[in-house]
Amino acid sequence: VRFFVAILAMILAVPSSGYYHFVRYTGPAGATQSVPLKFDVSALPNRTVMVLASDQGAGRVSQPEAFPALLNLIREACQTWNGVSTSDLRVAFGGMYSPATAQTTPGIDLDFEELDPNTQGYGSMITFGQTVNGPNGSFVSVTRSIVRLNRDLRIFATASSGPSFAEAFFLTVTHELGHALGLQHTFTASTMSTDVIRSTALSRPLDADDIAGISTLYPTSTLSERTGAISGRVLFQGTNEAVHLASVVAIRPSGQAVSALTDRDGRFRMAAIPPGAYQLYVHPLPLGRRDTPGDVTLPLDPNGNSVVGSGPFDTVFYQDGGTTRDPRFASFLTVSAGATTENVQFAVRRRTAHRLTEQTTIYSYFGSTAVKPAYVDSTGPNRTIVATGRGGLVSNNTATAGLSVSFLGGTPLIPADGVRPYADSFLAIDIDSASTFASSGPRHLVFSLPDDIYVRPNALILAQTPPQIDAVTVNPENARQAVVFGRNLRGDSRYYFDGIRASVAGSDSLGNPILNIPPGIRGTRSAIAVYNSDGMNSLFVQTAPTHLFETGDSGFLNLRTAAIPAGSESIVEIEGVGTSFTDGLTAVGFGTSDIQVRKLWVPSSNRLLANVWVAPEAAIGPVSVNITSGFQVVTAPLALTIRSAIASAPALSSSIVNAVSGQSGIFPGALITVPGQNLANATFVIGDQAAEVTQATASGVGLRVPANLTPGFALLRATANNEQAVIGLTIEARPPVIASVTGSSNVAVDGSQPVRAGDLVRITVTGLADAGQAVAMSRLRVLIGGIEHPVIEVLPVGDSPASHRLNVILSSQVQSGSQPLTVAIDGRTSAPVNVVVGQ
Amino acid sequence: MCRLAVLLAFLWLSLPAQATTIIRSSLDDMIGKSTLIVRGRVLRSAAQRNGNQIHTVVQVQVLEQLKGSAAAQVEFVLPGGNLGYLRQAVPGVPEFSAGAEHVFFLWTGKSGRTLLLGLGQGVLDFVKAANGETMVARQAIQAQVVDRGTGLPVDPEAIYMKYAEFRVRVRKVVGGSQ
Repeated sequence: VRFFVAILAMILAVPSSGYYHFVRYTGPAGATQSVPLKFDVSALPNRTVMVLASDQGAGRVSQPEAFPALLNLIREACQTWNGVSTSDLRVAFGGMYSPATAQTTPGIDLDFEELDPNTQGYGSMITFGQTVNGPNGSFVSVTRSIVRLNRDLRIFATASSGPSFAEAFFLTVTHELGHALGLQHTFTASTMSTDVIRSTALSRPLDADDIAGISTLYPTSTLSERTGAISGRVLFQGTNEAVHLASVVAIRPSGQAVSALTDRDGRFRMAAIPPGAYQLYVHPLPLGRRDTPGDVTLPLDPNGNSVVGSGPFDTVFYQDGGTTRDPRFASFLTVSAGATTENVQFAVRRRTAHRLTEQTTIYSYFGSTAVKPAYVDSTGPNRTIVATGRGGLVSNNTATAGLSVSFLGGTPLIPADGVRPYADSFLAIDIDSASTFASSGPRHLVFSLPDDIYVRPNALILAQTPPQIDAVTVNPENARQAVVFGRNLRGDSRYYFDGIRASVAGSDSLGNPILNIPPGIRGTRSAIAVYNSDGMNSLFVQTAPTHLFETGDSGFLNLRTAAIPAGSESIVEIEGVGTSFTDGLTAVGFGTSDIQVRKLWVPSSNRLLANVWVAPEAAIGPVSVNITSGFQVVTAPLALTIRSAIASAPALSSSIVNAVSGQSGIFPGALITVPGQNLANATFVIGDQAAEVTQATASGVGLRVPANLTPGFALLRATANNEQAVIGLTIEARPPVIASVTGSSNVAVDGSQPVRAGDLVRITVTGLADAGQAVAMSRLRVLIGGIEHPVIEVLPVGDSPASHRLNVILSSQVQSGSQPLTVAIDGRTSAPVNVVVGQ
Repeated sequence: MCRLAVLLAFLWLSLPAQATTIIRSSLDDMIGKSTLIVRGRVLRSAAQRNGNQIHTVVQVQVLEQLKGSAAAQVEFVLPGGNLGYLRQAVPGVPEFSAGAEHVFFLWTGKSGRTLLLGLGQGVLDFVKAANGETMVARQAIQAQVVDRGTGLPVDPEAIYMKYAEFRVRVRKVVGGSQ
């Protein structure tokens, strides 16, 4: 798996980030300051980098009929990285691009090309040397990233997956996108590990190490509050020489791992670690070519020369005051949110050569199917796994003298005769049948020789029995739905038709899931597989059943919006003929990262509405529109024109926020702030009703949403200087209103009657539900002074208006004084009222 | 119990492939997939701009052809390279020095473009053993785990063998596939 990067820079010095990023050392020779390569989030529209797939792809891939499924999997990979809440970078699938289209906004282009039959693909970042000083330090700004995938799709197929490449293709794209975003290979068996040890899956695509990597590169402002960090240094014993590019790993025996590399001074800093108790170990980069050990791209010095790592050394665990090769004696470090554990020192013994394998692949078996990663059914009889590595374990059908194998944390158990050579050069490891498993999830192996150890994170995944599909039938009550009959299907199971996920519409009277069949193409057949959240999938135990699409075609498009000015945002209305637009499945692209779909509405199967943003530097002229809906892909060539901006025209942004502190949402009567330009003298209409301007500034206006609007989609129009700007809005239902707040004595809370920690607080609220109707406590969220308070009771108390009383106990964490109180139901938040909290 | 486990292990080996994803190959598979295998000397390695990417073209003087039919010189393309102050590096892609002698596993696709099979996987170095014998070696890299064709795990070992034996191995595999 490949990464590709271009550098040209004079770079400012900042502390190295520590994680496996692509970095360059700066300053004088031997300096330890470094800068990473990454996208400039602040310069990206909506802090979003767009991923576009080549519109030539269908003609390039070896199986053109699979292309729509590939697009859907690329989209899922984008959603995977986009879903990391501690990363400030958003990642969006932008549909298909035409290689001939000029693009000025940084983005990621993905294409298929002829690669050799042993290379699935590679990812790349391109910079032209711009060094940016950001709030989190300096970095080299990436202008564009490129992902190339092998056009011969057979490389992604496996015997068990049949015609579906879903999981292998998805994991490859997710991995390559990680490179394109700025992550290197790691050795914790996360998604950013090479395929040799990777232990992630379609249904659990990112590990803690992946999340830490992207989060430390693009940190949110709350990252350090939500996670912890560990810092320290790795030195050679005796000489105290710094160890460069040592990999330090924090690992939980039944949890995930986070890792970082040391810099030239032997220092490391692991951040974005989820709170918990961790053991630490340090290992050398795996043996490999000198220029790419373990397929890690070496840091560069200011002259562009690679800076090699220190030679091999003993892998050791951290033990208070020293190190140990025996994990039973390794210390646990407690990582707390908002705190850094500092000065963790490793003194390691230099080796002349690597002794044990450092890249061991481990399999489990379901019948005759070898499965990687090694899933073990914690209730099943088959508890043998097989390890294969680059030597050091077995040779000539004999286990290496002195080799022992154990699980970190001591469980599950391996019987005394449970480690044995297998098929000449492999190692079979039996798990004691008496082992009980307190929880599912990853377990880590430690291979030990008298003078070396190798820790293999995520060596096996304890899981439940794989799902299995017995039959799939079209729902007799709805031909666009299918009923799945099977075993071990769960509420969180994901169902795929080839690479396209089918949403679950409900269940039949016997509890069998009913799926919405993705829009298809008449005459095509797709394989159906189910993936459980623990990673197990039906392809482990069966050949996929198939579904024949008897109807369906891609249709064609008409655009009702003909032109958009550069540098603006506008609603675009798209009408389809014969199309099957589906909410959650339909994606719209305009062929360039200079045009971004900010919000998409699917009112019907043949109508779309989209808020579309166009970069100020976008090329003037026509662009094509492409829409993916399940297996249906339809393009309208040159259907939308980007025209020059009119300096005096009003411009609206859909980044609208509720103007009331502590309240969110756009609802009838709400005060909202609408960013934009040239709005000071504009008039506004929301859903055909005039909207009152409450405030006007150079960067936007305050508006009051008309009080009698109906919730749902509405247009916001701004008119000024004979020009008009129009964007779409979703008008939400009104939030609840706090009518009164009393203490336990039923007296209104005020300065003379404050509430104190431990007091009962009674909150009377309207707008939660109809009169007399019960409200589930799980739907409610009460914040006092920013502290969440569990609702202990909710009662209907009034009919006109319908009101309910919520009871909470005031937390001792709330500071004294006047504090805001809000009540939210299903995400709709009331305006705050202030309550007086006594000491 | 132990016998049963051994029996199961044997069964795994003897059953058809239903393995998970794999992309890399055993030596025999490398020999089989290559369209050309040569022993050659690097004449020149030069980077070229191709759109917004850089490719490196490596020219090799053929000293011995082991599989396929080669002209006196062959050239192949690698992604990345150095072009002036612009640097594009692809992990796993080897760098070649003029005059160095290697065994190259090459693959030519329908486009006519010749590539190094598996990037760094597709080059062997010549080394002298302690007894003076000429050996070929491949530095260990991320390697294949299960052979897709047979379903059997494949040891991704670093290659280290006598060159004479390697030539015999190539002939045997090529002969077997004809």
